[in-house]
Amino acid sequence: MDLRKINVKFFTEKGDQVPLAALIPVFHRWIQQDKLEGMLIDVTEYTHVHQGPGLLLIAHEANYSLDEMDGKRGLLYNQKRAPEKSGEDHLRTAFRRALQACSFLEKEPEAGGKMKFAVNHLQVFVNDRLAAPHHSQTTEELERALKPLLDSLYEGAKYLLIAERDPKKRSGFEIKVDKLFDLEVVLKKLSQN
Amino acid sequence: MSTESNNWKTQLQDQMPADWAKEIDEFEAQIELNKQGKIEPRIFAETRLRRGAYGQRYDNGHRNDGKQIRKLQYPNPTLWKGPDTHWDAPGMLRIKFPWGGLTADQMDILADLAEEYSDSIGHITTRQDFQLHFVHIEDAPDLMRRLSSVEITTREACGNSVRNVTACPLAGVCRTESFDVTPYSKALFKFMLGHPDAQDFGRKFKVAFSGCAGEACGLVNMHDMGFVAKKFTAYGKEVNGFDIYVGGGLGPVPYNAKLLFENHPVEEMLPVTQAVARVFGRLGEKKIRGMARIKFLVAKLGIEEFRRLIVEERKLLPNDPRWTGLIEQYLQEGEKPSRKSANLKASSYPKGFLEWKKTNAYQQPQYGYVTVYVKVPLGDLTSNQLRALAEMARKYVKDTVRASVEQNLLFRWVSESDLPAFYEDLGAIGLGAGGANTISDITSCPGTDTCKLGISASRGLARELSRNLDEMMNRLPEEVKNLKIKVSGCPNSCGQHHISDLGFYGVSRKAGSYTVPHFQLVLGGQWVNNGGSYGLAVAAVPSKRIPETIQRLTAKFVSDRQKDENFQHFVQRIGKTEIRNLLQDLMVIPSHDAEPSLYSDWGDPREYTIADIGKGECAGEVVNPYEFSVTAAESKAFEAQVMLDGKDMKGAVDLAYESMIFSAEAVVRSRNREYVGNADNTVGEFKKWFFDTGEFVKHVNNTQFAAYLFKAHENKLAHPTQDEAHRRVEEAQLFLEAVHSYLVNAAPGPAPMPGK
Repeated sequence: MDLRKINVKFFTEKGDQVPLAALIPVFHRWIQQDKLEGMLIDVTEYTHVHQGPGLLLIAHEANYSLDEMDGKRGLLYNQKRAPEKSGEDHLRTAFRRALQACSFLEKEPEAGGKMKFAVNHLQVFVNDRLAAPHHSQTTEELERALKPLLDSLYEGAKYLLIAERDPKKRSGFEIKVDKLFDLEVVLKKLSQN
Repeated sequence: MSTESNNWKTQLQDQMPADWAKEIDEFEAQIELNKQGKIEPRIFAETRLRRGAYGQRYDNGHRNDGKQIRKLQYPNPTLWKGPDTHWDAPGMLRIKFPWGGLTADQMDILADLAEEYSDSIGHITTRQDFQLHFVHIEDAPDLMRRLSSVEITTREACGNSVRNVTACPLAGVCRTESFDVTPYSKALFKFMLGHPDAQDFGRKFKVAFSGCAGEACGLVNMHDMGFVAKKFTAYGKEVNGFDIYVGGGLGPVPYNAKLLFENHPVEEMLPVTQAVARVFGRLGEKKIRGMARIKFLVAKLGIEEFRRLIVEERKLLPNDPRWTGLIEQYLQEGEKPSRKSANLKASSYPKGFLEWKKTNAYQQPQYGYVTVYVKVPLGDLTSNQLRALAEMARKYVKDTVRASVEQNLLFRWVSESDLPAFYEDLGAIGLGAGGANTISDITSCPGTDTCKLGISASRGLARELSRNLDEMMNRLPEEVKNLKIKVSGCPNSCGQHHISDLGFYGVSRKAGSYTVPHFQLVLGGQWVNNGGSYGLAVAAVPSKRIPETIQRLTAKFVSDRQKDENFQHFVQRIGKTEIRNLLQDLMVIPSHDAEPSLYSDWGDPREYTIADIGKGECAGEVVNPYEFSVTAAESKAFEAQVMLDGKDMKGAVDLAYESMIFSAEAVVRSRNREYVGNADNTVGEFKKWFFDTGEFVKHVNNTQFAAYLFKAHENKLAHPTQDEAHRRVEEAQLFLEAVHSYLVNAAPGPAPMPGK
């Protein structure tokens, strides 16, 4: 399955009350500091929009955003094109980069210890209706692609894959893991393997 | 992403009009050729612009990151999609929606495309288009194919072409229209799209339709060409016709459109348009971009001579059956409601419903139907909202939705009895806010968020003002509630600031070694009568002080207003001097240490600079006599406006000219501190050392502003009309703004120049 346009969103465990506008300086600072992998370009704000893309860090390969689509805040990694010089598979790259951004964000002073991401509650979907049309075959293929990674990251836990049912939305899953995991531990696993 | 067999081209081949599909294939081929270096970037730029693919901020590879101007390392640093425009830089795609019409299927596709190629936002523009931002040029062909499959084109959405044909969004359901202009606007769109007579313009050409003269909706007065529906009697019979206008336009200097033909038969609409296109293509300016709109040609020739040329050209046109055929075809289509009409039943309504209904529901002349204004914050809709709105369209009205130039959506033909449910459905997707067409319903161009020319954060300001005004809406006096605010990020007027009660456009000011974002306040514009008259710049105020500026102005309006006086007349009565006095303290820039927040823009914590849209800033604490010249120029420009208010046209023109001379003197003195000279010398020095060398243009990115000076110096207008005086005063203000930009971007100090 073509997963070049894979998206991963880790939902917040706490921190939905932190105003997104207060976090604008964080994304600007990340550009100054080349904090994330890939080429970072600009910051754009949609705080005036109801349940929208929130706050975006626009980049060449993948956008990062504090996304509020469907009324659930989370850190969304939206891969737009295959990362340069990466031998890693797309799923693993997306998980690692998304969690890396979550980790950085939790430590930023503007988040003030008030923001925490739920490593055990996430959403994965393919942002490409041609490569991943909305039917059962896509769902099965995506599940097959996801399982090895989820098994290794959430070792010893059970997880539930809830397929997106709305045919107008993009194919993917909401994933709920029945145990809590430490963000840094999962991130370390992703970085090591 | 796509393969030989699985790609959008193959998937959609039977769903696209064949000629559109072919054009998209050609565009894709041009993309390939450009990548191979076989097309000049300049040629490719115009090619993609005509396909609706625009550049976006930072595509030159430079961005202020708050500490320094950083070079953006795009992956293919030697590949370009236009002069100084990186191939891999995100761009904008403008999508045409003629007369603002949208079907449910089209909204669904827009939602998908916004998610897959953009940032999940569809943005409604001030000309009834949609825009997607942060799009990669290589994604454009597939995006166009998917649009094409639901009969949408991006063709000629940008570039020197006939842009989107706009029309009053109430056409057909309006209480004051002479007749429904929709079929005519459709016919004109179809006729002129790709027309051979419209391929050699020096600049863009915008057309608008209005159903009546008195309301604002069509904004005919500010268009290159406009049609106002009118019934008149011919041979004892009442017939439909148009008053046809030409040569209007906003831009840095606004022009009122001139009446080309009165009571013109509808059947003549297309041949007249074709004749105008031919004359514009043949005689319009091609070299100086800033003087190439048709308004300059009409002003230069005079409307009588222009009219004569059109009449002559019309006689030469070979007959085209589409002139009447297209109109007949679209007259057949009509628009029908999908639900039966029924009055609103008295019952318990959802919370907030009655308040919302006051501002957001428009009673149609058709019994039992209303048009609902969906207030869209900053014109931005998420993909989820677009899909939900598409479902609402299917449920309540079918395909009768229209985008407005005020960046809202209108659902026409809503049965009154459905209104409470409709309101609740809107509320469920966060679009149930009232206040459509009120002071909190602010229009804004993209400004510094994404526009290459943006100087100040128009969207940031609009967002802040909307929030504040929404919160205090219930406490605002009625006369304030009905005012209009429009914001542009630069003088180019995409936010239509000239035709609002309170207009703002972005400028910058130097304060020591810093640059401070400002907005120029424009007062006295008229929204009604199709954007009937334009406001004038009154004062430049730091961006962060605009909310206070509005608070003071509206408080003054409430306290000093005479009975039934509107804001425009109030401004005229009390005069700009008093207004400026009211705001004087807000215009003074405190030091960076005293008020650092003024040195960044709305929603952007970076220390403000415009160096990343022009040449690098290297300012220092230099005190130079040029600053005295700038002050004098400011003062003269303001006095000119006061004269204009007092109807002293000659006085206004003379003072505007003096202002320009002082502005030019400031530029000359920025390089030669000892320079002293009369007007001839100053213009000569400016031309020789700053204009002819390209030095001035390089720093202000526009040839037009200097042209204002040369024109004023050559033609001092002994007996100016009100229009001419108005324009001259605007031009003086714009030349002054350009000089400010020059002084910000170019380092004042010694440089090779005679006289030193």
